Amino acid sequence: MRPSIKGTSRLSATHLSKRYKSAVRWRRRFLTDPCVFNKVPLEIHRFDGRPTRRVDLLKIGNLSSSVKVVEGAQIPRNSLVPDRLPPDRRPPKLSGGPLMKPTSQGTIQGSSTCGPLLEFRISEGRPKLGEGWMEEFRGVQMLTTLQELVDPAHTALLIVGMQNDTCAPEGVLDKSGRDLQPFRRMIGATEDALSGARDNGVLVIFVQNYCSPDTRLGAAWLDYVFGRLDFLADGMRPPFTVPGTWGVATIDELSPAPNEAVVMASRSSAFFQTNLDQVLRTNGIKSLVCTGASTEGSIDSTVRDALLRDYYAVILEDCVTSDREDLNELALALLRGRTDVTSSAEVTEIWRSQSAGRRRL
Amino acid sequence: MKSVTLGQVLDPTHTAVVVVDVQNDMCAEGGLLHKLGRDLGPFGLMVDNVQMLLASARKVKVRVIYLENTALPDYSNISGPWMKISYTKFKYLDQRFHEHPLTVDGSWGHRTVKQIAPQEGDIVIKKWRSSGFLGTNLDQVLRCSGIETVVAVGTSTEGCVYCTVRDAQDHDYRVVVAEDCVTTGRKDVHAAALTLLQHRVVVIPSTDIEAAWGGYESKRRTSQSS
Repeated sequence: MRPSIKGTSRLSATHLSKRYKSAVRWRRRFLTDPCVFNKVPLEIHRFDGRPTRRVDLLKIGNLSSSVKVVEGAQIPRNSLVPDRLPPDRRPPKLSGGPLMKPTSQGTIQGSSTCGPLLEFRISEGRPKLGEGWMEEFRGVQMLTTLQELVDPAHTALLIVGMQNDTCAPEGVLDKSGRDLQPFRRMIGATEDALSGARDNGVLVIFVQNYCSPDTRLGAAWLDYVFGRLDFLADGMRPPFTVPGTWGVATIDELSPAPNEAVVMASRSSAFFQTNLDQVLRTNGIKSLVCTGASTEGSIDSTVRDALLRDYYAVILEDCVTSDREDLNELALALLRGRTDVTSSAEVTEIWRSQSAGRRRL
Repeated sequence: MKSVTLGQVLDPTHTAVVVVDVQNDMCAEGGLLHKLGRDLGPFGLMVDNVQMLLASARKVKVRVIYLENTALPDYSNISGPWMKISYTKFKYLDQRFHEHPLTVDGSWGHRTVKQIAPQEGDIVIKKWRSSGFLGTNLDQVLRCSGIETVVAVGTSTEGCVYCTVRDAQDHDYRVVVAEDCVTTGRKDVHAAALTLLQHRVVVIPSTDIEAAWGGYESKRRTSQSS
């Protein structure tokens, strides 16, 4: 029997149960035995795979002298099992439970701050769409190529707006004098993107903007909405896209299938007070491919909100439109400075080739 | 529908000035972006204008709220998409080559520039993404203070100011952007962002805002003297 360790005389107290005492003895032995200690995972991995600070673990047991803690050194990357890497890039699981092996030198290395990455591919310039690779930096996975970004497994196609009252003949705004030509022009390309998504397993989500006919949406908001529709006669505020009417439905050419989600949005941003974020997360969606109207209104807001909420966004420039061509161009120019803007042909081609590749397997 | 005038919109009892990201790392000499080559000329002008606007705001007891862009030092609040934006898009900031991100929590670079430092009674809110509303209590603070109008100043016009303004409008606040109190590194981008903002919210020079507040100040003086 090992001699008792200073400070732990409570085990001699008779009121403590045998079971408790043997558990304490076992734990102490486990932590103080040098040969056992090396097998104990010295890093507690948080649920997302990132290790906690090593120095906290010094408090839980007595370290024998054979173990050395080195501050400021690098944690060998290979021995970690980060959850954020995809399965095929994760190192194989170690058998027997411990989450990491001791290092080859036999010492335990720790660091209190994250240092520079050990494995890191230096690139000459920034990758453009179509070049590059999946980057990993400080444990954070970054998708940079278009192929990665719009992979059907984690992509959703968003069709925003494009409703009867806003852009169909006989809709309220058409009758109020709106020129529908900018909207009719892009329907063909959007239909192609939609059928490409449906054929290749990309999740499709429709966003319908609605406007209630009274002030329940807020006077400030309604002032903006009707102020923006400058073709309306002064003081005219015809109710449009009223929930439950034909006007709020998406136009026939792009109508949702019964199993496709429809999100009703009261503001420009499809994320504002809607369950769009929930729908995307529960389906494991990482990227949004955005189409619809209007570029400087709903698309701009939705894309920015998606980027803030940690989604990737790809805008199809031939599938977005606005009744003001100049604002369409300006909005796309600013959005190019934040996210990727490409054509529907490129994206549908990637979808076709990627899902064809999968089917072959 | 009754139309509102600018004076009514800017009533000091329900107006707040929101100062977006005027921090040392973005706008000051020795900050991270200055070290990476940013030209601070437009930023100096912007800070001077903001200082004057805040002085006139405080005279009429308009609330001032500072938003400070924040990042945790070990990148633990930065996601792939968020890092990709700075990595592939922003001119100066390539996160791969820096030990720490922009505006690390608690650092000098994170603090608001000294020239317009927060005073007693001002509220300082840390923000984690471009929009000042996402993941913060800004909306709660504005509602509980009875604020209906937000006057937006700061940087950058097409980024944090744009996202915060848009979000404020979604949250049913009236927004006034002081066009000479917002800026960004590139003039063309600044102009484009202001054009788009004009179609959403009111964009006016800060002198007009100060004039509206001046009207309230003289009203206050008259009521006090009488």
